[in-house]
Amino acid sequence: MSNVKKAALVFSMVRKINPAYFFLLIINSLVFSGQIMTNIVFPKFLIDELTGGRSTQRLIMWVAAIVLSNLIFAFLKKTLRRTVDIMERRIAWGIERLFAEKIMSVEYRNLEDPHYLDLKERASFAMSNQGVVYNLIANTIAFLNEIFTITGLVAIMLRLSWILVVTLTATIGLLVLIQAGFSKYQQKFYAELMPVNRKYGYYINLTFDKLIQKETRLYSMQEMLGNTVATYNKEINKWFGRFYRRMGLTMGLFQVVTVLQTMLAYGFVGTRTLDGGIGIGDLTMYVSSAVSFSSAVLTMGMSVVMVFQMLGFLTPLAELMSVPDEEKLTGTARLEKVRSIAFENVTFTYPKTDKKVLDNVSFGIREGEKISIVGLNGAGKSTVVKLICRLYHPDSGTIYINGTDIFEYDRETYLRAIAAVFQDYRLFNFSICENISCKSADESRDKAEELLTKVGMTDKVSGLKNGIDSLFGKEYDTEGVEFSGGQAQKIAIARALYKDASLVILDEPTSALDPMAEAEIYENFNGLVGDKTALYISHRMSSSVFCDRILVISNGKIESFGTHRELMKNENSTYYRLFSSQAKNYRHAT
Amino acid sequence: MSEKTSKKIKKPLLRMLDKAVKDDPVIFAFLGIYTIAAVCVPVFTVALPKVIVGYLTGNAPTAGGIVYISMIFFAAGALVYFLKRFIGDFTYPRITALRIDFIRSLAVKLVSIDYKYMESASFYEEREMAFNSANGNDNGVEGIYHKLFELPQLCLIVLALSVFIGLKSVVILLAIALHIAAASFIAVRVQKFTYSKKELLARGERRVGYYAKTAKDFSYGKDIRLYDLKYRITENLKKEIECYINTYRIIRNREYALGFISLLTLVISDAVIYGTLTYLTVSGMSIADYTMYLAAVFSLNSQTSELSGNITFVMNEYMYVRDLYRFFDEDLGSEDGTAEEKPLAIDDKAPTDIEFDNVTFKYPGADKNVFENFSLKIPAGQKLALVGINGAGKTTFVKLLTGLFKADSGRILINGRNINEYDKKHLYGMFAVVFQDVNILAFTVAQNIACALDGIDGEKVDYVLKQVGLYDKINALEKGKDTMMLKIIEQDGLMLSGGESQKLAIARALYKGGNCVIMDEPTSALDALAEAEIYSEFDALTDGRTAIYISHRLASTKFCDVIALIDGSGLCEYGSHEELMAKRGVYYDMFVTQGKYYQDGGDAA
Repeated sequence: MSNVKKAALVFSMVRKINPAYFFLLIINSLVFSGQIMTNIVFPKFLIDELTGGRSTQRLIMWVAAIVLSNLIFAFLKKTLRRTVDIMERRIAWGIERLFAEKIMSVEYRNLEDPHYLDLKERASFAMSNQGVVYNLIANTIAFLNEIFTITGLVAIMLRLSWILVVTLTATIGLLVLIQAGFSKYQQKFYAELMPVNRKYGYYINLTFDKLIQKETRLYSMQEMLGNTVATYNKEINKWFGRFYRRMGLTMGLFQVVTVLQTMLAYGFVGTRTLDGGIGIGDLTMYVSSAVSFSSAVLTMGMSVVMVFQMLGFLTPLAELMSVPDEEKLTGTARLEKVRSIAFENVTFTYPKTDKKVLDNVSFGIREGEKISIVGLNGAGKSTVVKLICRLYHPDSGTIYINGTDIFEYDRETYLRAIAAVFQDYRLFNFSICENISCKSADESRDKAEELLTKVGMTDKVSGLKNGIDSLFGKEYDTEGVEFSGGQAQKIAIARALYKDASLVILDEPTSALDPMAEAEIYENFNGLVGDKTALYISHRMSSSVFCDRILVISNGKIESFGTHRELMKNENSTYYRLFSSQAKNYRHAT
Repeated sequence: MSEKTSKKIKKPLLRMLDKAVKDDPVIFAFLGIYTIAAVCVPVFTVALPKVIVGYLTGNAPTAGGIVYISMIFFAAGALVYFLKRFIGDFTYPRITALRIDFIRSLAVKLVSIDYKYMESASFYEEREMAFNSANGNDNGVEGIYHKLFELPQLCLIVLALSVFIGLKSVVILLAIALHIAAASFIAVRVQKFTYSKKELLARGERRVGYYAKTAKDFSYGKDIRLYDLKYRITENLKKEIECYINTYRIIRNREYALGFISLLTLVISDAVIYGTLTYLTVSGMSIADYTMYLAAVFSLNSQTSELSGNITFVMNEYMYVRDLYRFFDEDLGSEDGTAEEKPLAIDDKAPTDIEFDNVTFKYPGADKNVFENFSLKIPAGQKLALVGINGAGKTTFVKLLTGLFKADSGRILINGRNINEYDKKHLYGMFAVVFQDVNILAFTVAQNIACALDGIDGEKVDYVLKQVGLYDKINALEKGKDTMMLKIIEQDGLMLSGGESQKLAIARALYKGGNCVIMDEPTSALDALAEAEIYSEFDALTDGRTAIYISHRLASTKFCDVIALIDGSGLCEYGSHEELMAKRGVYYDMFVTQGKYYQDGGDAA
């Protein structure tokens, strides 16, 4: 992606967040360069007066002018600084928000593609660790400031002689040469360092990761983690040792050229003073113009380099932001109710893998059927469900609902028709009520409470201080409540039921539930689901007994699709083996 | 904060200096050269205008003379400027290296301190800034080191310039001092104010962070799409950003308001400086001296504000570094534990007997006890199945037994000894625990099993891999057990399925050994055949040691000697499978409920 495109992207994001920002930046730069100009011009008049007429009145006037202009500029800068700083925060967070929004808007299948995971990690790293947004803003500001300043300074210097301007520009050429060599090295350096840094980031974050803390203690992983972190750190530091030596040399040379520029200015303007053409006041003015010019060009050059470097870091974010939103990719047909589902020669492979999870699979489900999907770990049960939810596109073949290709439906009605509890379901740090309804509490409290009763959570929830309005999870607010795996699972089930969709999908809905709660959910479920179509996935084989039909998947193919009694007839079948291995433990229990 | 601790423990700043002296004394040699070069820089800027202007306004200046002066100044200036910059950059990474031990100590301490802190959200919130002070080049520990490096030259320059200007005009010196004092006062006040708002800021950041992180977390992607939560999350994120900005704005407004003081002192100092110098020149000072003193004043101004900036920076970051040191020093129950006398080590694999004696426990901040006067005995070598409904406290039982949490009252005894008397490391060492959620880390297979980087017993790793049935799969890999796991560090890292991960966790437990095996819901994510496999291996896994098996799948209780059924209030039923079935109580109900749908297929077979 070209730098122009990336710059345009940032521009459009900032414009979306706060269009006034650009206007403010221009004002800011005017004030910045204005102060430099007055600081160069006003003292000249004071010195001229001191070396010339020495009129008390004029001397006081010029002193007052200097003092006042300093005051006014200090005031303006201070005022602008405050506003710009706050805006900057808003923009940094705003870009983070747009980034988050994008991830929520793209097709889900992208999220399981390691390429996008890598992009996201790199984009996040660039934003949090490399401070891309702040650096980009700061250097854009610097660039604008210096452009204004340079224009003014050149105007002053041209009054004396174009030779000075050309000579100084030539020395700047020298700087550019030195910088170019270093820039190349720098880019290579950061490109090589990036993966090392990323790995280091993983290990350091691991020590903060709450999920692993039980293991780190019980398996005394302290040394292992501590040493790995330190080793990476030392390695990175060694890299930086080389980098800084080189940088020291380059920047040292820069300083030498800067001194050269100062001396050239003094030498040149000094000899002109000898000719008698200009006075001491002019001398100081032109010399400080020249010195300011050199440093302004230098700063501007650096800011350009930094802007390009930051745009380079921005590549992953830009690539992510250019992924089209899902809304733009779906059809327009409206889905009122799921009456039939049909897979026709569906083949599917997960992105960046080569194993066909589903291989030319065809089957059909009728309205109101309760289907259990069975298979070994990794057989592709969840994949079937995710395909129906349109979270993926099949590699080939078509999935129909009511005889229409599912991708022809629009997003809104399609999502409304399906409710699902996935095995890796997630709850959010909202109130319990909002977690169930996914709506604001006021319009949903009654129905949510009803569902809490149905999943057997009323006692637990009404015992909480804020009842159904208690906040779930402690990450957002330390006062939030935490649930056990089983309790959280019940909330997730309530959420699916709240939706009142015509197709209900339960992927391992009871894995964390105790036997009583499990039985309760199953037995109530048929009542709750009613005449809706339902798909279950469970390792508890008993759950398939009360399903109308069982879809057995093995090695990417449909091994069989029939009722429990039919499938149990074949003693060599996967289903028979799975069922019996659990059932034998419960035989003759009564 | 208390006086006592500050006396007992050396001041953090001294500890930092001690560390620098000990780790890398060469830094001080560089500091010497750097300081000399840096001190020469203002001599150059102050003397230059005077010499040139003096020469031009003097007797019969020539072009040759100007060129000659310029060349001398160029040579001297180039040397000094180059040295300052080069030595500064050269030393930078050496200073960074001083920080590495801080990161390491922080990492080790975080994964060592009592587990209870890990489940407390405020623990992180209160210490976030302290933790940050170990991370980052420009803040905290390293930031202070860098600023300290600048300190000697700044002090020398400010001192020299002050004397130089003061000899000419004390009033100017006072005016500058007034302005700098006002600026420092403001900076200190603002930083104090920011520090007082640190928890509010941290909270704001955490809340924005929560929504941003959740939205960007791919594992939330399915639910966000299916329940159409994008809009809600975005709106909430916007709201939280506003909240954060508001806090930030309060700080900036305070700074802005205070800043008016410095505008006032700016006018005073400017008026005094220009007024005095102009007056002096009118009364006979040469114009060359005028330019020189003006340059000196500018130089002093900028150097002093840098110095005061440095000092306020150090003072500000010092608060966080002090918090960091306090965290390092604080006894949060890390490995050495509280034992005065070290108990005798228990032989590896010798089964231990365990007793809960009147144990009461509730989670910090919770209002309901998980256990109340709970008592249970597990004789050495017994295999106990722990069952109960959701929320009965099965996992809490494991956390208490292994010492991750401490009982509020009552005793937990291992071999007749209160577990609080064992040192933590030793206590942890007694248990081999397999949890339901397996955490595979980005290390090699062998390192994941041995939980160590080196000193790994390769044969033992092979042996345990064979025991859990992963050996063939691992051995077939190009690098065998030295294959990196996960795709985070190496692109072609090994990814295991749920069942295989569970087996790896069991291998980890087997490698560790210990005196007691604990399995907390190890099969809930596994298919029926994988589940059966783990049951059949259970005897081999426990190998005569005391074992505790927690599961909702009651079939698993059959291969245990005894079943303890707990409910919200304590031990509810206890006995062998047959005894409890005969009793027709809660266990019976659960077993029958779970088993009833299996009867159908069983008969058909």
